[in-house]
Amino acid sequence: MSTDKVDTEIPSPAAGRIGTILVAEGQTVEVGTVLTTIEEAVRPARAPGTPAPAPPTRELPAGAPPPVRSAPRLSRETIAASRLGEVARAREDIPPPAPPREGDRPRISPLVRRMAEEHGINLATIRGTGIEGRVTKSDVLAWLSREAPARAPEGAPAAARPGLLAGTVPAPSIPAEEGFLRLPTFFVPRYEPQPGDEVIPFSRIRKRIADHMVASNVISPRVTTVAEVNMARIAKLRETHKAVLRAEGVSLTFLPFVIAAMGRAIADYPGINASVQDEALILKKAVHVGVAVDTERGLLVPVIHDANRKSVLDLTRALQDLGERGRNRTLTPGDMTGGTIAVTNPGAKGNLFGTPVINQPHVVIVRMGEVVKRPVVVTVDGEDLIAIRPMMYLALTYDHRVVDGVTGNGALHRIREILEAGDFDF
Amino acid sequence: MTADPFTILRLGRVPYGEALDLQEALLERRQRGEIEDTLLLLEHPAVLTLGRGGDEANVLADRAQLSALGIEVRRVGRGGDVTYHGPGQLVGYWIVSLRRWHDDVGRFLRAIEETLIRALAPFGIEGRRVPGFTGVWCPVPGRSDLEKIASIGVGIRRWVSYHGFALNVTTDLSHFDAIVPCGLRGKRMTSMERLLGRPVPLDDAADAVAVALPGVLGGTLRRDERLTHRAGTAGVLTSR
Repeated sequence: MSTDKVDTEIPSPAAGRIGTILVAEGQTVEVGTVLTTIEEAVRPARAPGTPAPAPPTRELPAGAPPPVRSAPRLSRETIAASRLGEVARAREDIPPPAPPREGDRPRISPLVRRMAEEHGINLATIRGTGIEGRVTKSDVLAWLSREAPARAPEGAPAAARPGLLAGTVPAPSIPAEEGFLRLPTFFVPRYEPQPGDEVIPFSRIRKRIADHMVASNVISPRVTTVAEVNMARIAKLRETHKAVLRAEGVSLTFLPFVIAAMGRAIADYPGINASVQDEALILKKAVHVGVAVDTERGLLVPVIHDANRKSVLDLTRALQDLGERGRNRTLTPGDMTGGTIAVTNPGAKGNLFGTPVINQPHVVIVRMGEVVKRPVVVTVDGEDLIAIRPMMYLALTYDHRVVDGVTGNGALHRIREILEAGDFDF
Repeated sequence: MTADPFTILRLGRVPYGEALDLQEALLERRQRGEIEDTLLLLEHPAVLTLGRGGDEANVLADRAQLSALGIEVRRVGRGGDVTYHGPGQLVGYWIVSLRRWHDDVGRFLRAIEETLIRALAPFGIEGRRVPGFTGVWCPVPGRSDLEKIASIGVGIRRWVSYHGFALNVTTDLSHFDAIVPCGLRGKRMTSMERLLGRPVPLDDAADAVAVALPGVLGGTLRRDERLTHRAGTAGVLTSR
């Protein structure tokens, strides 16, 4: 049966023989049109001389063999044109097949037979979901994952699984490889509407963010390291240049300094400006910094391209531009792609520090905390004094698959040094 | 959806006939439960294919013209009308059991669309569904009509699928002028390159599909294998 986009075979809903074909091949029919009838009670041809069985009956005669298991029982006598989806839904109502009876010899593939032997499984105890109730590899694997942990002694290694191709199985790029780590299934309790609740379906962008966050959390083992940064010199630079920029209608924040410092730290620690693909670490030459921007639609991460080659003022203008276009929805695909590292600045309400989720496929994200005046020990002319300084907790989160502690900590320490030295190009 | 594992095999550029043989071999093995759900990602040399319901009249160019361009025409056992495959187009063949979607073909088609929509998102391309017109469509600035970036057509045999999608990455869109794509007169095709204004490596598009797929299937990616030495590919896959 062919529809606009699908060409499909419809498995027979019953065992028997085609009676009348009511619609010729190649014709277009309405949903619900009867295509053919099946004579159920007719058995396959017998030896000559054997009397033909009784003509077709409406109902299954008592004692007749049950219909083939894989068949959807839409109707005993007819196959009607139906929306393919409906055929499918109807199939869900089919009761599960009875387990094979004693003495039945299930038809199984050599692979399944081998797996069964390997694990000492009696295949008759497994319910097959394959063609005609056949036990498939998936059934065996499903059975093993249910039963094997109970049967295996504590600490026994999980069973090896044959792969599709001969040879060694490479390490998976996602740690949830079966047999290595099986993620538990958790069902959220069904929501019961309560008066006053508001149900907000995910927008496209929200769904994208949610999927990205979940995937990132699964893929990247995150480690966060936090530095306390004395922002006194940056605060002075801000004061010095603020007036100039205000004339342009641009406000100078701490963020462009952090981005500039990241760009310079990457020169010393290239391992933080990278991505992971196909079990390879890709060190990126260009430094394109993604900047988390809060918009009414949700969080966007537009990119400042070649951030390491921009002055603090250029970065400031670029930030202003991306922020505005993020809010008035005029960001282009080019603005959103190509990032190699990211920074998030929650601003005045950034609290002490936070541990961000990595913007995939990056390996590092930097998060700024609030800049707050704190009493700190400073050394002036070789003498330790307690002074009031604008301080910021700066967090750097790295993907521990590929960024080692030495690199992650070293890079953040370097960013801190650069910020505290306050020696920037404008 | 089930948590069944699946496999992605990347085959590089494969002639249409060779890929069809491979699909059919894998289809049969999937039906027998010998392999798990498999997505083949590849590229074809230029070819026009007509689905089972395809109308020859939708091939506009004459055969002589086509063969001069080195474009083959073939009729194949999938749904859908005529389509073009060629360099710069990412083709994905889904050899999967429909059990994942409770044997619901509609859900399966939506899953293919969802995979592509999610794969396009990181590039900043918004893919959309158009009810009644299977495929992935993109809004184009300055045009009210959506343009089609990916075509979908599948075949189902004993509740296992073959064929799948064709996503235009850097496809030479002028080759679509030779046909009425999918039999839809007046619909324009587009590509990632045209939307972004820069070429995208086919591998990047394939990577994006591989990344998007686990989220859609809800299963475990068993392997994502690059098989660039095509000569050995069919041999490895069909031998056991």
